[in-house]
Amino acid sequence: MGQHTLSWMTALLVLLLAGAATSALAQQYSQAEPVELAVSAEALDSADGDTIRRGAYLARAADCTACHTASDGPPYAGGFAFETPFGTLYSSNITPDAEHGIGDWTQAEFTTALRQGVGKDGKHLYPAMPYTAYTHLSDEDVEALWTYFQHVEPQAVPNERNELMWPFSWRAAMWGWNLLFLDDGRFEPDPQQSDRWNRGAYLVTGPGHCGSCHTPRNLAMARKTDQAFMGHSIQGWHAPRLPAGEGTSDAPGLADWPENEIVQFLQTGAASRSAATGTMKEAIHDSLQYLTEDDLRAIATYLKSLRYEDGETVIATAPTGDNSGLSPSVASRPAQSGTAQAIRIGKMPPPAVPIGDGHGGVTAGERLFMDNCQACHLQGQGMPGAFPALVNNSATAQDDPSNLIKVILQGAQGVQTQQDPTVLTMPDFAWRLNDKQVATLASYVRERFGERAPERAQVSPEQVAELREQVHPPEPDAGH
Amino acid sequence: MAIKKKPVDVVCIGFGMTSSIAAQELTEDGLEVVALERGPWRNTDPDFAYPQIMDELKYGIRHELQQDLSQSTLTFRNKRDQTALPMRHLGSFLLGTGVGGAMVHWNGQTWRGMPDDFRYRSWAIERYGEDFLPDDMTIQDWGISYEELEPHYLRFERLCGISGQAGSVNGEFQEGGNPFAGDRSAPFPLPPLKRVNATNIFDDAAKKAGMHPFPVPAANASAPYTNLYGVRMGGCTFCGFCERFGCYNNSKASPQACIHPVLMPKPNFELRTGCQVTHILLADDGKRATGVRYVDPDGQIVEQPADLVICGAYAVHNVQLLLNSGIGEPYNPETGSGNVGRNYAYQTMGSVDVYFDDEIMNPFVGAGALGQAVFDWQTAAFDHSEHGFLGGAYLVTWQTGGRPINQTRTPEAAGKWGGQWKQALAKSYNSSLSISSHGSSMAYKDCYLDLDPTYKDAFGQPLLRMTFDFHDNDLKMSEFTTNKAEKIAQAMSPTPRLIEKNLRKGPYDIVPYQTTHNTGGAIMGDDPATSVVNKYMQVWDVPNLFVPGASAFPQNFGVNPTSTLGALTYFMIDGIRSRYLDAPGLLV
Repeated sequence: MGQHTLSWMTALLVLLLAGAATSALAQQYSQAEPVELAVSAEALDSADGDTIRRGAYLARAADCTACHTASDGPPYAGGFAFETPFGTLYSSNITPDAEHGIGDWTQAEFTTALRQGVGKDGKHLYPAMPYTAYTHLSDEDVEALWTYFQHVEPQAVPNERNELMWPFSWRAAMWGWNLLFLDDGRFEPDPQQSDRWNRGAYLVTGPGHCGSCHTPRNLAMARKTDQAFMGHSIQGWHAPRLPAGEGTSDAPGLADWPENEIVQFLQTGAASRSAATGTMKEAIHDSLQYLTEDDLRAIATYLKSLRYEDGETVIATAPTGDNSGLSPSVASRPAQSGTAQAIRIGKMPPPAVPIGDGHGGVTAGERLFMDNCQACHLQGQGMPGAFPALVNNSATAQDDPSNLIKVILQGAQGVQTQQDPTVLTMPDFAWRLNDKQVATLASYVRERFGERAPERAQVSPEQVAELREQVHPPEPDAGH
Repeated sequence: MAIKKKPVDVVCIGFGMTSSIAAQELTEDGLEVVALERGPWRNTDPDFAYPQIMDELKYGIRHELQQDLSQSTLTFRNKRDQTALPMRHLGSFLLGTGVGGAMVHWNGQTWRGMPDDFRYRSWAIERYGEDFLPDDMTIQDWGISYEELEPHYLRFERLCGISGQAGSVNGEFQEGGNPFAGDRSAPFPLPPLKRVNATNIFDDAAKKAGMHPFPVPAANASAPYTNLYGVRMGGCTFCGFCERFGCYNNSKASPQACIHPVLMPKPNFELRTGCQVTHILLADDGKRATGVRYVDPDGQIVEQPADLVICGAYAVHNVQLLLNSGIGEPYNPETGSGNVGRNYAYQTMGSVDVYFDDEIMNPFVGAGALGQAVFDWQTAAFDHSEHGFLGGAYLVTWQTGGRPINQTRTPEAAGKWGGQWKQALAKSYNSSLSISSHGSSMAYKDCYLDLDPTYKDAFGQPLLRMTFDFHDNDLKMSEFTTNKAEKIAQAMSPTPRLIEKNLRKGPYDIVPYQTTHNTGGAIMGDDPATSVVNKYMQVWDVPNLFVPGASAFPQNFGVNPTSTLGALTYFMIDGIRSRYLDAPGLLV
């Protein structure tokens, strides 16, 4: 695979994931949807009803709508545009319309598409479709998905022609890529693990396809399976590492969070130490908020079993403990200042460590923090239930500062979910702070709240400038 | 030709707090509800975003969030023998518009009425005899008791996340609370706001003066809070931009902060903005509302049929709608007949400014209801026999902000501009405070609302005409209570270098800001002969029309109206959901 292909695939992946809602910075309410999207009450009450419900639930878990529904289009009618530097790719209509959708497909063809990335008449699908993960789906689940999609409301929306430059338009090239990188096969439960762990493993590596964002990629843009879930940067957003273990002193993984917080985060996009940013919000909004609590706990169980050791991701023999949310490496550090400890337990600290440069002045970073951040984030403990703490916060603690910089530049909004419909908003500062100021502020935050040594906390104005180019300025609210 | 929409179960006029509560509650029963708001969609993000919202000139002076008076205003006169003229600028009160209504830009001062307030006429006559009331005073009992309303007050407080210190809870008095307040069935949902220097100074002085200070119940959340609908609010950060501004923090109670996250996603709820309701439509026999007529953003006339109409506009706009729709009999001040428009009341305000040497107030650390108050001179808290007036006030030191244009004070002698004024301002900005007397406003024969004979709004409808002046009773009351405020100032420590008293004088001037507490005009009562609505806010003449709001107050008591109108709305909803929906008809 050549250089062009790899960067094309990066671009594709980038835009696939960054695509839909990142420009919609003004908060609008979306109407609540049922779990079973786009099927009639009659279908749900019919003899096939149970299977349809099962398929609808799996479609939520697999998040089919994220790609197969255009932003102003009917469910599953395709037309979602992936803008790449090499042209535009459009998702296909997967409603059972006979002419434009998959109405004339057989179940076998549907199954092959899902698992091997080969569509009707042998047409290869681009791996924007995460068939390398869906290959894990069981026969029963594929059948349920098939039944569901047969009953989804048909939409006579023609498929847009892809507008890709040659040779990317040559689908047959995928044959070679699949040979190298598609590990075709059903999920195999691990008999050593609990049912709950296995369910979680199935959901994460199969329909949930979490690795599509969270696993780093090789030169051919395939996932590096030995580095599973160790984080991946996509157009300025960083999908963080998830496993515990090596390297967590700089970048704690989700595996260290208490199980309840993982569940709450997946359900609502908010937990005391983090708020979902970037396209994770869509994943929560369209998919994860609909999963049952049991399934979310299963996912948490699986994720908490991941460790990074000796340079690869492994399953720990014992799951990571909770340790009040501190990763073992963080907890075992030398005692922090009184301020840091007070922050950690959520108390408003008196300035045990004098704030300032020791000469009666206040550093530039402190000044910026006080003027822009302190009102809501206080002394780093935030306001539990409203504004995230900055200590033990995945954005401040990540090695990769992209998420933090982007959030400072363009603000952040919560996810509207049915469990937690409130969307709280962090304002944007791109218009107010220049690159140097953002760099100074981000460095300060990473040092003070990310608890790094100053030289490891530094963010450069150049890093900020690069990310600023990707930030969309907030649009005035166009009315409801 | 009017466009006729598909009928719905409920249509709500306006989308402020009363309509938001109604829509949220009635959609829970599966009803199809449409809300029509004349103004624009507004939400915390992006309309109240930090730091853009903290712009005193734009929002505080140029009224960006409030009613555009060039489209619609009201006409005003003090006395019947004057010609009313249109109010061309917002002054004495701030009419709102847009989604969220007035609770977007209020301060958050959230009081319950005193138990005796709800039967103030009977109470006064029992204590002082009928002759004590001036002939032209037309106060009435409300037709509802504090006890009936109490659980609904609590509900409203749990909606808003009120921060306060309870007085009497289930008969037991809590130290630090208001000893004159009615009994509560539960404490406030959040602890009181932090104190500041100014409120501590007031607290000490009030105690020295023999009074009983307590923290004011505040709709500025003292901590992050999840309300009774599961909506999350942030904790107040004391930015000092409450009244006239939207809250960027979701910590000031408003429909946006408290209700819309759970209401807006509902499939059986629809909001249409930019839709000005001009008429409530009636059946031919005039005894049933059939829906409403409105003008849509394209200027089209539209009819929305509905089985139930909730008229949830602002108090004075409710009255204007009733009059323009021909509902009930308009009040005739000559003959005294008719009820619609009768008993308009306001608030009687006085103040004392107090200047210190070298105190540090940091007035910019403010929240809309951050204050310490006393109820010792409230409407029903003391013996009026020797004083010759009815009513009362709470005395309070607020710290709501230190904004440069509107929230500074300088001694009279400094003038209003120039070098001397600037020096005085520099001296007093950080070392002064005020004590406000927030007083009641009784109802009188010649204080009323009707339709203006001359002026019309942009939709061709007659403007509302407001006829209102202060009466001696209220001016006397205000002088009395403001003098009590002076006593507190004189007891302050450190000793003030200067105390200046500002007594309210007549005639009522619509220019300087006083309060946005306009009450009455569609008053409640237990007798259809002397009221427009019953205690369920239900129009006697038109049982499927409900008119919640401060328009229902028969007179205005000595506290801000919001919590009471909120409680009345919940009482109304309870009546609709538990009885009316199964058996439509008069609930009383």
